[in-house]
Amino acid sequence: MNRRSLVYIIISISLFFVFVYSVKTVVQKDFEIIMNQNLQSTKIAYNSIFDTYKVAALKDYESLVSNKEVVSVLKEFKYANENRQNILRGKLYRLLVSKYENLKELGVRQFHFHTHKGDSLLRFHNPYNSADSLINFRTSIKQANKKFQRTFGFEGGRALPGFRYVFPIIVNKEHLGSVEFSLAFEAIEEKLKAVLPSHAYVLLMNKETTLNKVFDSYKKYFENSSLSSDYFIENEKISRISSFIKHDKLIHGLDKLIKDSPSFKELHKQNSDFSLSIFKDDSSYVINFLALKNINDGFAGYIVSYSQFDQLNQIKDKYNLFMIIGIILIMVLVYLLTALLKQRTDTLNQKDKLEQSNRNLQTIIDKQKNIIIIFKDKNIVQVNQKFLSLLGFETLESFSHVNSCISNFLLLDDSESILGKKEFLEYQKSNSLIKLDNKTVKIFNKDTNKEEYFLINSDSYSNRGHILVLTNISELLNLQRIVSMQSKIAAVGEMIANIAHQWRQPLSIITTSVSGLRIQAEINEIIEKKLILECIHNVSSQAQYLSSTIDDFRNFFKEDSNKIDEYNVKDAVLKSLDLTKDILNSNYIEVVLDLENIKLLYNQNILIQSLMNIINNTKDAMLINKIDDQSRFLFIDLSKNQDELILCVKDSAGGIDEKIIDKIFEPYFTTKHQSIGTGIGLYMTYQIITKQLKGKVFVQNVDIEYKDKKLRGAEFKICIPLV
Amino acid sequence: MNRLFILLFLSIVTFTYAQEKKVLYFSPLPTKSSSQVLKDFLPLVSYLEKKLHLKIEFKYEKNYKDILEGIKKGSIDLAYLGPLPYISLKKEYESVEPLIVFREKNKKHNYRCVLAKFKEDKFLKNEQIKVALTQPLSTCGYFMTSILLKRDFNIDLSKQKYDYKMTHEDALLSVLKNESLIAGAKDSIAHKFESLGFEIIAKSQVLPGFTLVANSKTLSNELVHEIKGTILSISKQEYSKWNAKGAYGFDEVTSNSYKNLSVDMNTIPKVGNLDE
Repeated sequence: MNRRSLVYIIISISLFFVFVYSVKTVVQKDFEIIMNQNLQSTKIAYNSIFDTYKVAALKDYESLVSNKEVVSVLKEFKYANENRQNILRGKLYRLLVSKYENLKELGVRQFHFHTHKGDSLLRFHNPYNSADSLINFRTSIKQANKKFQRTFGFEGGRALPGFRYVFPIIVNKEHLGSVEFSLAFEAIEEKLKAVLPSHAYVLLMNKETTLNKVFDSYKKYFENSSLSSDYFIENEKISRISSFIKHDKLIHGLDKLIKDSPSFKELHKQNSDFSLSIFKDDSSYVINFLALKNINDGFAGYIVSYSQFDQLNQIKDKYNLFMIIGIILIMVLVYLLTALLKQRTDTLNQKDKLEQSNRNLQTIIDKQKNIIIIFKDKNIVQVNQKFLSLLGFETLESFSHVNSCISNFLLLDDSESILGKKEFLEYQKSNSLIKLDNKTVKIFNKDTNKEEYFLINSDSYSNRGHILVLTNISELLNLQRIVSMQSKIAAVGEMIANIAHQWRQPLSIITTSVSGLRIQAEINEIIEKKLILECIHNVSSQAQYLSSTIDDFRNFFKEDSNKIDEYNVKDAVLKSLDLTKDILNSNYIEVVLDLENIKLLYNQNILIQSLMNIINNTKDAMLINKIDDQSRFLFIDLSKNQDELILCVKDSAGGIDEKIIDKIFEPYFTTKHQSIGTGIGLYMTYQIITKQLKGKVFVQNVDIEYKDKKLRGAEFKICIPLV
Repeated sequence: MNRLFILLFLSIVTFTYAQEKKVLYFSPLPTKSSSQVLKDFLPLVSYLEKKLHLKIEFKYEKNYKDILEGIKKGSIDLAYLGPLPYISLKKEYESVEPLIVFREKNKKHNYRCVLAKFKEDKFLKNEQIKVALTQPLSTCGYFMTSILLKRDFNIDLSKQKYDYKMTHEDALLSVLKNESLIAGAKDSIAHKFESLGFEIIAKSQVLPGFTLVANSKTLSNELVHEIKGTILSISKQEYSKWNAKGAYGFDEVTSNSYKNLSVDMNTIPKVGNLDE
């Protein structure tokens, strides 16, 4: 199990328990509300019924005290001896026995007169059991006969407990005793069932109300409740309800569940109202326990109602469904949260990695000898240490604080190839930093205290980001200047060699003419004028030729290499051939031309110089490879496609060794003997074509078939953009 | 040979045991529901079974007449009878022997029947009176009330209005309610009504209470004596534990206790005559 799964499980379980607990609490609250309403209804119903009976009892009481015969008996009884009292008791019974029968029908179980001393005068329900003192057993009788107060409420008794209405009998200010009407619970239950239908109502009474109070002979009418040994009920002998509940399977089943319920065990000891919800056989029940107070306001027991209440089941079903949906949602939520958390963790990890990567990158770019500037949205976001050293700043922030660009540090230069401040800013503003590629800038290096040149390499790393790499090319430029100087010297050497070739024949003619004239002068004292003139003509014409040759080379060198004019490339090719014609002729190299007229805007001489280098190289290769005189050819084709001219120069010199063909444009690389090769020629050609003419040079070995000869040689293909 | 001897021995033992374990049939008077009646006699019956190695089976009869018939036919060995059924039976069937009587709560086994009335009610002997009776089978009912009325007031009950109220209390309450002039009842109950202005106007001789009788035709004299002796020797410690018949103890009784009493059950009316 991985950490994520563990976290998922722990969170799920925690949320599950919290959710289940919350739902259960809500369900319990709902239950409590319903049960409380039910309990309140029972309470209201009970109170109403009790009050209704009170009104009836009051009426009966008033009827008694207005009955003269009754009052007369009671008055006489107060002062009579025991024998007379016995007779009066019988008389009173006779007077009111029909009334008692009526009261019984209305639910009154005990119709009881008490003497003014609080003794039992006559129990209609147990007439031969009287004269016992009740004053210390019955608060209601004490209240009635000592304080002359009416008392209503539940109370235990010497015979049976009951819901009592006790009235003091005071006639003409004379206290004659008291009378009570006591209801059996059956009477209350009957009315409760009519008002608030329920499966059953049961009265549970505590020991103080029952066994502790009744005559021993009455104890047989009580038995323990099946709910708890703390409570007693009136048994089947006197209670219709007991007879019912004893044989009712539902009550038996419910009582068993209630008895085992921890809530019941805890709540019933609090002697106050409470309700229980019981679920049995797919039905739900509300069991109300209405705390019954006795006349002393002490706890006497409970009126228990058993009501089927399917609403509880409906609520339970509803919340069960809610709980299932909730649990599923929690699991989905937790899964999503965990996934999100993982995503977040991954992001942070990636961020750490990225930061580490950035630090590594910073380290790498700091280690670079070049200056690296990273732009984003035209702003510098990262530089390396070299950059800061170059411009004399400690941090990028200190640089950015006063500069928005490096253009402020660009120096002006006479050379047009050096980028100025304005151009740099324009590129930056137009977000065209990519166009700075291959541009050169001049910056004062605070690290070396020198003005130095930097070649810019620009690249984009996104739509809005650019990386500028500034390479210090000051040394390279110096080297190039040296190489250029050397190449010029080499070129001069080549030119001198060419001049030497060109001068050799006229000088020979001159020498021969002059030598002939000297020989004629030595032989003949008089030299024919014709001969002298012919010699002079020869010398003169050859001298002019020499002069012309000098002019030609002087003109070539005199041409400013930076001068740009539109010229015909074909002419440039022909001119280079003219300058090398003696070399080509003396080495029996036949030139084969296929030239188009193509105009190019640039300095003509640099192209001529390039071609002369290739031609000289061809001549050298012919000699080195000892190519047969009859097989020495130089093919020059000039053509163009849409936007570039293609100058193809190939020879039959045997080709270039494939092992070195990639190195021939490197400086100082030569296969020739040091006496004839410097390694500068092809390097210069490459530099001129690629850097100045912005073109490309390709070299390869090719097989050629010409004049029925199968030849092999090198092909230099020069492509120069026409724009 | 050995096997044969063992089989013979076992057969003798089994036979002897079967003889000792004779089944007795006991029939109590149906004064209450069958279950309650059986419950009332269970401790005593169990005690006898244990002590005498007997098997006693209850034979519940709904009518007292069937009990008497059962005794006469020999299908009932023991019975619990009131004085009146016993006297009636004895007259017809000599082989019934009273063994013991059951003491009441007041520790006495005997009682009197009385006539009671409300003191202030006028008893005019030459006028027809209303009499409240318990029940036909009750000794204090028609049987003794008629004897007492005749003996003390020369009044013939059969010529008066009478009604069966089924219990002694209800018979007395009938007088208290002014429904009857006189009630015939057990003395102990009638005395309780003195607190309601009642007076006892006639008393019977002392009568034995309910008795356990044995059918001497179906039971041997030894067994009858053994049963009687066993019951009379039950210790107080034992019977006081019973919450049933016999919980207050037992007294010996003989047929002499009933010698002055004679009844023809057929002469006792089964219903009152108020509606006549």
